[in-house]
Parts: sequence; structure tokens; C-alpha cells
Amino acid sequence: MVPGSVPRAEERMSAPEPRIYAYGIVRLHDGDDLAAPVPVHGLHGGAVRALACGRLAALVSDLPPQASAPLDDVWRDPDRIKSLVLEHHRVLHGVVLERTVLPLRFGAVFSDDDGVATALAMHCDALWEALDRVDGAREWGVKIFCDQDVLHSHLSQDTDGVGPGPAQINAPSAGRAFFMRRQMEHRAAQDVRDSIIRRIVESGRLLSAAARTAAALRIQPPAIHGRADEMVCNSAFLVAREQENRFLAVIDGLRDVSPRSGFDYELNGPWAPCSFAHFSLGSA
Amino acid sequence: MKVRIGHERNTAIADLLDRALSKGVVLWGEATISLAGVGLIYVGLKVLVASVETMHTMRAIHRADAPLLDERGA
Repeated sequence: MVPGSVPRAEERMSAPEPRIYAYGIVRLHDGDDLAAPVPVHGLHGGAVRALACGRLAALVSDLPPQASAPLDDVWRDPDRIKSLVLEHHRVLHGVVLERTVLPLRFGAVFSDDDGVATALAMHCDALWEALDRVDGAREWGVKIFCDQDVLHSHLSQDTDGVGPGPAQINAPSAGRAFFMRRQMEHRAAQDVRDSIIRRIVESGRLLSAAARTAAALRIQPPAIHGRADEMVCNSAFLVAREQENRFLAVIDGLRDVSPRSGFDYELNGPWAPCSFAHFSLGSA
Repeated sequence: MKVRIGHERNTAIADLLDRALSKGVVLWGEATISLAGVGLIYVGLKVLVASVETMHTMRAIHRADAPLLDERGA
């Protein structure tokens, strides 16, 4: 075998056993006590600690020896993945309640403390800039749902006299009545679509005014959200702490005017700013 | 009107998985080991989402009222 071209699988088998799990990156402030434990438990119950490197610190915990190949085999067991992801989330959530944290994607395991520190040192500037963008802010999720039947009725009431009325449809020949009915249905469907788009744009405008930035998330199917109405928008907002009350008041205002028109809003959060820390540093 | 926090039922786990598995910083270093397993984790996510959907379907069929997360021991 040519030196330096060891197959990845063998390389991983001969690599030191994975030991350190990293959750996120924080800035070090004057007066930070690195010896003070972070008051949340990490994966497999490990104590979470801050591992300093220059101006930054990684929040890490040790993985027990029995958790060797800790994340390679879990995919076989959805329940185990779910519990590990929940633990990852609990750590970030516990931290984001107290201070700004740049979340790492689930699954960052390093060979040892030095490996974490080296990765931080390599990407120090990029991590610092990313922390700048999310400093003092948390992520909130907003989902907009729409009951199109209710919206249709609402629009019909508002547009009485605009479309052709029943008398106009019944009076002409059957062929013409059919054509007019189809035309009316088409127009109603178009009105519903337009109204949904207007509502999404207007909600985004109002919410963005109270947020630092926004990101679109995947629309979830009914099998996930379990509601009878349709999810028409799923987005994340990066909101500065001092703007949170204003942001929540905007949601309240949107909800107050919504039920009659078939729209509803769901809020989730606060989250570590995962949707605003979405990039890759270094390469595999 | 009170804002409803959507951290209930299986929608919460979906929100969480979406963020933990597809967002956040990917940090590669010389000693990064397990991000190599991310592909596998994505396979797992598909399994998980499939199982969430299956559970939901089963719930609908059996008209069970218990929350999904409780059923699955979370």
C-alpha cells in the first residue's frame, strides 16, 4: 500500500478512540471562570466544561470509553440518535439562556482536548466573526398555518359583488353557466394563493423589523406537524435580547387579527442561533 | 392573546432535528473524528423521520391520544 493513501475506513479504525464531544463556541469575557462547570449535563451524562483557546472557548464534554465509536453506530437506532440529539440540544439551550453561543452541528467528536484547541486556533477569525453576527441574540422560529377553507370564506365575504353572482350564472345557458362557474372557482383559488403570499410577505416584514435577520426553514408536512390546516411558511429569526418583547408583541398582534382569516401562528424557541451559524470550516 | 410555544408533540423533535443535524457550524480539524459519521447520521435521520411518520400514522389509525414523545420515551 502506498504510504499516505490509507483507505478512510482503516484510517478510522487505527485512529485514537473518540473522546471529546463539542457542542458550541463562546467568547471568553473578562471574569469568566473557566473552572466553573457549565450547569448542564452533556452526552452520556458527561460534565460540560469550557476549553479555552485564545479569545474563544469550546464547550465540550468527555465521552466515556464505553461510548467508543460513539456516533458511527447510532444511526441503526433512531431512539438512541434522538436521545443524543436531545442531549446536544439541552446543552446548547442551557447555555443560550445565559450567554451567546455559536452552535456546532450535532456530531463533532475530537480525539482529545488538543484537537479541539487546534481546530479553534485554525478557525479563530471565522468563528469570532460568526459570533459577532449572533452576539446578544437568540433564534426564534415562527410557523404560519392556513386553513384555506376559512380563508376562502373570508375572502368571499370581502369580495361580494366582485365576481359573478349566482343570478348571473343561472340566467344564461347551461354552457355559459359552467364556464362562468369555472372562471369563478379559478379566480377564488387565485385569490386564496395571493392572500397567502401577501400574508407571508407582510408577516415577514413586520417580524423582520424586530429582528436582526431571518432565514427560511423547510416547510413541515402534516405527518410532522399533525394539524388539519396547512403550514405555509416556516422561518427563523435572529432576535436581539432587548428586542424580544417587541418581537413577541408582533406575533401577538398577527395572531389577534388572524383567526377570522384562517391564519394561525406558532412560535418556538429560544434556540441557539443554529440557522444563523450554518457553514463549514476546514475540510474533511 | 397568549403566544403558544410550539415545543410540544412531535413537531418539537422535528424542529430540533432540523437544527441540530442540518444547521450549526461544521468544524473540521486534524483531530475531528466523528463528523465523518455525519452521512450515517443523516441516514439515521431519515430512519427517524420515517419512524415519526409511521408512529403518527399508527396513532391516527388507532386514534390514540398519547403524545408521541411520551410513547417513545423521550
